[in-house]
Amino acid sequence: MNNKAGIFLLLTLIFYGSTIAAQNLSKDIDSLVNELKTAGRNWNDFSVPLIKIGEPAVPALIKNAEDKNLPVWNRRISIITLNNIHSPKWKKPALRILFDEEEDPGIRNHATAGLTGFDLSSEKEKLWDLYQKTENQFYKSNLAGLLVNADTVYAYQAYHELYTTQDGHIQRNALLNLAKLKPGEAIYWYLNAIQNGSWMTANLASDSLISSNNFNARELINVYSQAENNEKIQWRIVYILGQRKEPDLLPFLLEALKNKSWLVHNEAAVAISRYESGLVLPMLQELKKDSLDFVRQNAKWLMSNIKLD
Amino acid sequence: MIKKGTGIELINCISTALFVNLIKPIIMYKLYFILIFVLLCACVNNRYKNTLPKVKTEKLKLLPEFYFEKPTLNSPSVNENSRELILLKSKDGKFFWMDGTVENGEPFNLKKQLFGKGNQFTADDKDFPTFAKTGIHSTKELINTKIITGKSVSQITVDGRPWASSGVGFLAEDETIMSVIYADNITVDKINLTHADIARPLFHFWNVARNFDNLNPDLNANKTPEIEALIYNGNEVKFKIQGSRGWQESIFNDEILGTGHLEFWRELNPDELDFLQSKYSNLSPQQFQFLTNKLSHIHTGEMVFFYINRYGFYEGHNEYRPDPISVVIIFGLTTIEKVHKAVGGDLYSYFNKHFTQNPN
Repeated sequence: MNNKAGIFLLLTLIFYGSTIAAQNLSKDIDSLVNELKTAGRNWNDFSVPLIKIGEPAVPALIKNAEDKNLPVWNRRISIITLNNIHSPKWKKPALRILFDEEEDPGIRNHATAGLTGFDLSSEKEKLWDLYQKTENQFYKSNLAGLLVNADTVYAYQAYHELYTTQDGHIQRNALLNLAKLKPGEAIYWYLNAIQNGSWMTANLASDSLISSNNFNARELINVYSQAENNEKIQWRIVYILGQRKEPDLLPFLLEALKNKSWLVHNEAAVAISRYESGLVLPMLQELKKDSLDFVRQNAKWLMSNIKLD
Repeated sequence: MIKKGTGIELINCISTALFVNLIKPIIMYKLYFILIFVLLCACVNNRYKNTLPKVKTEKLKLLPEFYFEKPTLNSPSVNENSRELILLKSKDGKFFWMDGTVENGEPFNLKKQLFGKGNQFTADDKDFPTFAKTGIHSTKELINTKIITGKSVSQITVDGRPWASSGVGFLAEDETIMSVIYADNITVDKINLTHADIARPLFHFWNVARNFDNLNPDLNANKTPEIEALIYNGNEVKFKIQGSRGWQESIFNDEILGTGHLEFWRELNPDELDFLQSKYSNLSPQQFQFLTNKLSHIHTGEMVFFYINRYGFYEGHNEYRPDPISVVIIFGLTTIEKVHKAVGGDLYSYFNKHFTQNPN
């Protein structure tokens, strides 16, 4: 009897304890979400605790996000908080905001970040339609990201367009996604990017080619030969092939050492300096007698900087 | 006693005399600390040719003390504790001293929100040993420089040209990292200064600006002075600081980042203007204005202060370049007559010409 009474008492305490804890949490959420309605620069003071609370805070935050009477800024910070929690409950309201043509464009763009990672195949036509109608390049890029989880054919088309029409971060991101969507075409896109991409995109392509074993160096050497008047492309190819340290590439690098472009012949010298001396020294003896000053100077530099076997 | 004889005998005599008179007593009397001191002195590199006047600390009072009249002591000055002190003028016409010492301090890293002094003193001795010791590059070392901070000079050049790592670029399209370092090294050598000499006033400014920000919260609102100018070698150097969002990455493989737009300027005095008018009477009014503006005005960012000290790099011809000639004139490190002579008597062409000649 005593035991039963004890258990009853314990269960009662647990029940009331959890009810009080839930009431306290609910109060905390209400208070923090309310603060977000008027918060300024200090919004992280309220957003960070809400992200920590997570799922229980989502319904109240959604109310903020959808409340068109609130200032755009305060709706936006509520959306950013929701995006960070990344609850499945946020998917539908986020889609509603995204497809609402009356909605503030900034708010619609922010909603895209909350939809990443969710299956959006049921929305593919609407998303593609929205992508085509959108003019802002950053918004377009975000929508292309959503298309990856809606329909890869549309996503490919979107990234193809962004790659060919944009530069900087957007072009770089498009290249990254084109290579992910069709790995079989990755090398084609990287070769294209080192010739036509902006600095950032060409750097990504160079790094990818350096670490890839799936391409024939001959393809790059052909591009080098065709880019006779473009020292930046030639430099990039010497830079990429120079990182590979393959003995077969040494004749190409020695040829590049004679290239009149300062960018190209200096990069070739640095690339050759990574090879073992046994491979390189005999050829350098010849180059030391070359008729061109810079070739002789680079050969001399290599002889004093080459790795000893 | 040194006898007359061959060169080798002379060297033998000198080394014997050195050993008997200096080294032997040190060993005999176990005065090793003297030896260590001498060795340390030999190791300490003197990267400055321009020495700062010395001042006794008791002769001046640092902020929050003010002077209502301009102190007669030279600014900058260095005290007995090797602190470098700068005189500033507030907008309400008062003067005060602040510590602007150039030194290595806590990290300066915008990405990590660290706002220490950073490495203001140590140069890149791995890539430029002579420069790190003397403050001036050896041409031979520049000819043989293919890699800086682990990056090839070609890659640094590609990254530094316009529309690469920055829209404006660190170099003009026809310049290379080495052509710019080489040309500026020639200029600085000709005006008989070092790159460390030129970085120093820029760091003095940067350090007092940093100090001032740090001090602001502790100062009474009514006492907070708004700085109008730095008093530097007798000149009133005015400035403007403007921050920006985010930061600019370095083209070298280093920790240097930049975020600010900085402007420095001073009025050229009548003697300087007379000199320029007499030597450059062939210039049109617009060309003359261009020249005087170049000599008296700099627009730059803070990352180049670190570049100058570490690599002797002032950036190429872009809108952020603090030309060494402009720095020495604005901060009064030398005279317009001397820089006019150093650049072959044509400052106008000097400021217009890109540096396209690589060291060879």
